[in-house]
Amino acid sequence: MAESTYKIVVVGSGGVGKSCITVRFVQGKFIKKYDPTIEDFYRKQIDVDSEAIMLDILDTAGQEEFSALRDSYMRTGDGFVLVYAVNSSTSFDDCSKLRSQILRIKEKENVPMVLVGNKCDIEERDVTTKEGEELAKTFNCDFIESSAKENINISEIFVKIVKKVKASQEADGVKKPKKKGCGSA
Amino acid sequence: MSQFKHPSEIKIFPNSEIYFSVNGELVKECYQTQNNDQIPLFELLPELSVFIRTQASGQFTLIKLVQLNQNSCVLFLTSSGRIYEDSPENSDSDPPPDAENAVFYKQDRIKVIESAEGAPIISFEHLSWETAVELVCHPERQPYCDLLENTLLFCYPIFLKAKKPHKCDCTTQLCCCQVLNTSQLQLIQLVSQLMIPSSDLTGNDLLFIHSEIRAWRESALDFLYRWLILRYPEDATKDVRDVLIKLWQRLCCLEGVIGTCTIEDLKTTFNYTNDHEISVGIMSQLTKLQNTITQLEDQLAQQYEEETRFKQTQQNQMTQIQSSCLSLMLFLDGGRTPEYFNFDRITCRIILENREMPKFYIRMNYCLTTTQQMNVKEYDRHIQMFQLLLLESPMDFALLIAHYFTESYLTITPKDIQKMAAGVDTPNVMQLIQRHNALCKLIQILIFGFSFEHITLITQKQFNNPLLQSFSLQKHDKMRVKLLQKLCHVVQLLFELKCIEGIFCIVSSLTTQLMSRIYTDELQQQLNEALMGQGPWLAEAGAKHLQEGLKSGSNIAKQFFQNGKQMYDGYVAFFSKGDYLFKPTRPLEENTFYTISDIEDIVRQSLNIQSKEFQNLQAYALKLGKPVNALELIDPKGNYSIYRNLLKLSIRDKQVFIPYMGVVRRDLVFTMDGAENYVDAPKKFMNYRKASTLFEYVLTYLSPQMNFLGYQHENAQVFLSQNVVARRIKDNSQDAMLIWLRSFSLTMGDAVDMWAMSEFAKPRRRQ
Repeated sequence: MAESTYKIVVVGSGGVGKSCITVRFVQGKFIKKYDPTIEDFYRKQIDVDSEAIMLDILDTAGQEEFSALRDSYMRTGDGFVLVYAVNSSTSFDDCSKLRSQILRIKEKENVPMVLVGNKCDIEERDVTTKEGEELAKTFNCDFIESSAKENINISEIFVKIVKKVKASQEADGVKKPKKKGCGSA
Repeated sequence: MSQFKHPSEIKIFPNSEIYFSVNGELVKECYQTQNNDQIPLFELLPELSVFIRTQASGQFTLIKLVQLNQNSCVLFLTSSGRIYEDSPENSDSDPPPDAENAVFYKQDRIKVIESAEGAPIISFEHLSWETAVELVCHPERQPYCDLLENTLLFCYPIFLKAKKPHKCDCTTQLCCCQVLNTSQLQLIQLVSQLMIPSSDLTGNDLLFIHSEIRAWRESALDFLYRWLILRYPEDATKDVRDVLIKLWQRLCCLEGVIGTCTIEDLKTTFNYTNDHEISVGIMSQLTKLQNTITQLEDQLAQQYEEETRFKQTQQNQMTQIQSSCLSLMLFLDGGRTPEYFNFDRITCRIILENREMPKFYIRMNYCLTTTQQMNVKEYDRHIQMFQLLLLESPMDFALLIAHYFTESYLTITPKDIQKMAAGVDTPNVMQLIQRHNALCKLIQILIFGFSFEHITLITQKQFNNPLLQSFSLQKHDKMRVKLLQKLCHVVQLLFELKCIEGIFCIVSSLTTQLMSRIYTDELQQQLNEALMGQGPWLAEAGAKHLQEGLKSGSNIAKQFFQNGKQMYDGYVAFFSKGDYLFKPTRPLEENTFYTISDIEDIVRQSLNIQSKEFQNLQAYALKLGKPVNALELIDPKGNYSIYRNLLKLSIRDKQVFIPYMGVVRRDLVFTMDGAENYVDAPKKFMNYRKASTLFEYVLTYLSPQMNFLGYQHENAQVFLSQNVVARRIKDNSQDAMLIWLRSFSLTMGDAVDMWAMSEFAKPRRRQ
């Protein structure tokens, strides 16, 4: 089965739940036997529009402080998941900085990106859904609110970003990945 | 059952059920106690636990027994790590009091313990929890005892004979429970109970673990012997047998002697036909294993003696000065062949292989992390010095960087990692990150061709493009190429020095987008080749560009370098009593050797090399093989698999190694967020697998610390008496470049927006 590999970079301030989103997506649930050091840990295949896509997730969790390394992460990414926590306005403000850094590094005016307001299960918010939507509009990207804890909208984040990357690559003339043999519509 | 007195025997409630738990999964009931029964219990590995369920209450209790050595053992009684958090009022679920047989049942009534034969029985009836904590956590025994905050410590009478900790004036006998030998279990608990305010643990604690593991092995072997002899196969259930087999397999894995085996393997490999033969066979293998362990321990003891002897040797035979001089001589005659390039790498290897590197690192203990205020002019001068040091002597530059990161790495303690896992960066961790980022920025500033004076003016928005004012574009491009060449060479040398933090720092800073945009396409290609250990650059990279460097440098730098000896003297570190550790035996100007054979002679004489490998340096140079592919090394592809393998090998080979902190930070974040704290939340069984995983990260990141000789063999008492490693670091005021670098990291941290800076640099020509 032929499949495309997309590199998805998850960025955001420290403590917004980037790693939780990745864990939820890659592992499905929080488990007791857990080894994030294995080679294929951050890879997962998903089906989007009946196509098998292998996602290689580069999560900057834990390495936010190493600024030069962050650059190399961003440079290799095909799509970006920009995460903030709905109970942290600082993390929300940081999204603009991170986006401009991504655009600089990619040397493009528009990069496949999804803005994610995480921890939406928390009642006491600092950032409203409307504020998130408006920021996403200025970023010209999709917006979604999620909760890694409650497993809300986690897969949707990655489906959205894959669609964005695919659309972007098709617009840039990159060859469309082959379809699966007998996928359902 | 009572025919032998094992120190790990304990009386428990009658009619209790004993469970084993393997990998957090309970094995079904496997043993039921009778009245006055005694059972041997021990803890070999974190995934194997022993539970007791009293029939009266149905409550599970987790028992961990740690055998510290032949004369002492400590029993930890916990339930989900917090057995004693229940209040006395909430005692419904506790077992009923039984003065005759109860070992423990409530926080205010603790009765211990059946002793070894002949030893007195001690009882702590009515000992309150507060009193116990007070006794155990005596302030004199800081920093270790508060680890026990949520864990009650029981001791056997025989333990009273154990050695008292130094400087301990505690009068109570419980003082002997001092956990001078910090156990693996404690560390696991330390990591697993991250919120417990704990004490400073240091790299030396890891040393102790080795001795404890040896004791555990003995205990395990002893246990297996006894169990097999006395119990097997008459009254053991299948479950017990399975547990024993697993234990046996794991022990074999641990030792790496026999390898994993199943009961079927035992049958087929050793032609065992029945259970009795298996038990006899295992005993026979255990005997072999015991002999092997004894041999290994003898070897370890011998190695320790050698290391101690080595430490006592004050004379370092290979000097940095010699290395620099030889390097200079080599490249003065215009050599460009691989052996010339490899010379510095060989020197690094010789230092490492002759165990000179640890001696080099001894210097780490005598440097002070001072903040020295410098004015802009001084910074400017130092940036020039730094640039010329790079141009003139990549070897010294690499050693400087290794030194810079090592002194930060050695201050990291398990507690720092623990806090890091909890999302808090301690000053030690912050210092390392700060240094990493500062060096990145410094290198970028060098490549941009800015001085500190320029930077200050740019950040104050008072300065126009410095390139137009102080450099011609052409000249600056030439200098940039040379600096990049030298940095690629430094990366190779850092690999030989195993300073991986430095490699991540330099390579990532050179490959950032803000740097790439100023490179021409050709330059970018050459840089990538050189970072991958290929291309013409590396063949040239070891060459000296002192003359060119001087031509291109500023007057200040020229003046500084007019007297080369001054520079070297400034860089040579002082040893503790003011003696030079590295003595310049031949001044630079006296060196007149220009052939490979002359150089071979010098190296052989200097190092007193006997090994055949070094008899032909030229051949050795060719044998070294390809340089490292630094881009591949720092690539997150395959979850940093190349870096991880390198780290594993270095730990196995006991090499000095400065790991990259970003990877362990990442692993900690994912493990903390991804794994559950309890395997069975309602019963509050703690997920020891998670704790064990976290512990592994601590051990993996900090293990290489033990290979820094000066750190490892320090006076243990002095070491233990001081919590803050930095306090014992003495000033080395002679090392001007290091002092400046430390100061630079504090100044530069995150203050400068490099992207804004890059706007002043000449951008690359677009195709």
